Amino acid sequence: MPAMNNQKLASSEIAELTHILDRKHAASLGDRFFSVKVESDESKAFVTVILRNAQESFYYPVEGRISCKSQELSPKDGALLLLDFIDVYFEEFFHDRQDTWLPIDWAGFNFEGFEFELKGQVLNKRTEELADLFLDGKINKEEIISALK
Amino acid sequence: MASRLSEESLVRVYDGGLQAFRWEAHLPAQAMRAETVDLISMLSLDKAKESIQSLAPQVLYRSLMTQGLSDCLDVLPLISQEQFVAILDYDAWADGELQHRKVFQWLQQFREAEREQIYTRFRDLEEELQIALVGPFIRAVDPEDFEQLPDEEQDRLESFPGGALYYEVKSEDPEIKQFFADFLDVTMGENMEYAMSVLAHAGFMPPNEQEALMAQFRNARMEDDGFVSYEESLAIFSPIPLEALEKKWGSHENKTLSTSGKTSFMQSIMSLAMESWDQGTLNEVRSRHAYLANALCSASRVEPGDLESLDKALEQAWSLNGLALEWLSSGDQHKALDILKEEHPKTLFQTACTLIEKLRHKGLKQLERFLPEVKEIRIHLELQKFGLAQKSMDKMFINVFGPELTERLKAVFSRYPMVKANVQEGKIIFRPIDSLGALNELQDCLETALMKLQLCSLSQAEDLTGLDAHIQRSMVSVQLGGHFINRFLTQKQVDTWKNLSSEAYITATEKLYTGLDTMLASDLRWALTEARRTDGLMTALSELVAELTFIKEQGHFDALFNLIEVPDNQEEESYARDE
Repeated sequence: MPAMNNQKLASSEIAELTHILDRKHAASLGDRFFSVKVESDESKAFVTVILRNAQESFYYPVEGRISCKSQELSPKDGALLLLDFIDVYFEEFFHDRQDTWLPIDWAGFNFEGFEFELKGQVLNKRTEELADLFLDGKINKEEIISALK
Repeated sequence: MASRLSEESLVRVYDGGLQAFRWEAHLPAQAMRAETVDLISMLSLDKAKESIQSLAPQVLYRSLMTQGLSDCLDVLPLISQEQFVAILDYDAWADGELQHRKVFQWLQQFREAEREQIYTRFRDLEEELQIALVGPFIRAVDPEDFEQLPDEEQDRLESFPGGALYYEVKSEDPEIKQFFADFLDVTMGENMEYAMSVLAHAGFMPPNEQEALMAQFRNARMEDDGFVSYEESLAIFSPIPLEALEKKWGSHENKTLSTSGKTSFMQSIMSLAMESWDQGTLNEVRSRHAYLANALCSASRVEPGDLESLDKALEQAWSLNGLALEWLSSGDQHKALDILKEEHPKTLFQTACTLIEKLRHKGLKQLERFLPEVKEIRIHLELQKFGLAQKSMDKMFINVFGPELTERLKAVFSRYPMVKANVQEGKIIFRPIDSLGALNELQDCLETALMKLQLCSLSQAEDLTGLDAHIQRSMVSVQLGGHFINRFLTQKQVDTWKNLSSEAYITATEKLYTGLDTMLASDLRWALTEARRTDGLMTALSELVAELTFIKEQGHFDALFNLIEVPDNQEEESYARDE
């Protein structure tokens, strides 16, 4: 069996992967863009791919986690596998007129013979932020309406 | 690097041309959009089955997808087997390979609509497809061989009644396991002999042989819908001779490009068409465009089932044909309507490609004079290898033109050329070349790039001083009220510049920026203000302006030596010393 590669994904590699994600789906993105976060240690990798716009009125974090050690994967390969699958998901998402959804809580998936978990939920952080301000009495209804215009 | 997010995958995306840029276009007229029907309303018609079966398979497929399969379950039992086969041709193949899971998902939908349909629909598929679907997932064992197997393996196998045949589903995928469980459950109940026969047959056939055969059948069927081969699809983007068309429609080669610009010519034509044409003619023109969009799929790396991308191909087809119509009709809308009715959309599309290609070829040749390595890009583009060309542009242009102009040039040299529409959240949004005005903008973009290269080349002719000095003295010239030109300054000019008051210097510098801005097009301001993010020429320009300010403020006027004209005799002396 080949030696396991214990390397983690470098930040330059993550930037490059984000760039490719942005490019691959550019025509479907509108005002949205991707960002990628990767955290890993020896035994597991955790990846978050966020599709969002600048105001965060569309904020879609897709999170994935994989147990690497038990599946004889390096943390880097585990993270890349998750990224590959999340890319497959977004391809489906855009092709299916943005109507293909992931479970909102962790659910098991299988890809290329490996098992991992994924979850995702579209949020409107802009509205949530305005709602918090409203509940704190810092803004009124009219200000909410004008902010959402 | 992740396999799907590799550079190769990016090259493929660039090659297709529909995905790699953010672009906006919308087909304003209903007659320009792909046709769909309201299937749910059709169910209430007296002859619902006949009406649904009379639909073109692509219209039916699009309608099912648009309205949602789960809402159209009652429609499924009514569609003909021929339509179902066509739907599988669109939806269940990717990169020339059969997507088994997709077929199983369709069959499961039929089962949900009417239980026995999972069996009847499968049974009526071509035999080769049945075997190709079952073969990879079923291991069949005859009773004789079964007896030879160890106990644990025997325990894994399922048995037909009476032990006539044993089988195993060779997949860990729960969806596939579920499909075979449901399929065999219904099929055994309906036709036991058939169930045994299909499993036994599939289990003993060599792998992939049937799928390869099916791929050939499918390709032949797809060509009837316009989904031509990759080579044929590429040919549609190739330039054609325009003389005959020009003669036929009385167009003139030296017509000036309209600057009216941003309104789509096609949009006005279609409004006119809807007023003056009958529905039959409109539908005919629409379906011919849909056929053209299908033909573009292969070169654009779009699968027939990818409706989102198909719509984009259709939008590009209409847009480019708008350019061709405006050019052929010289802007005469009534003439354009006649041309649209008479000429095939493919001819119009090729006309637009030819017009664009002429400009792009000329532009590249000129760029090549300054950057010889552009030849590599030109060769890629001549071979329609847009992905490789754009990858080279990414590497070659970024340091010369900065990110924004590089992006604009990449869009100009894309399979579907586009020009900048606007900037949203720091990202450039492009739009298709849908009019002579847009073609004009494409030319502007190429000229901007050329102008920048001309600036860079200032230092090429004379080796006495560097590029920096040339640009600096041009800047001083502008600050003194002159032009940004490649000319040495006189001692007198430099003295005047030294003595400029702070106020006058600031005004002059502002003027410099404005002058450069106008000359080098709008992206300069962006590049100067975002200089930290730019490694190219624009950063150098900003730095040079800063350097001049420093020289001025600190009084280090010795640094200006290179800007001043060297008298002829001194130049000769200098050469003599060097030798």
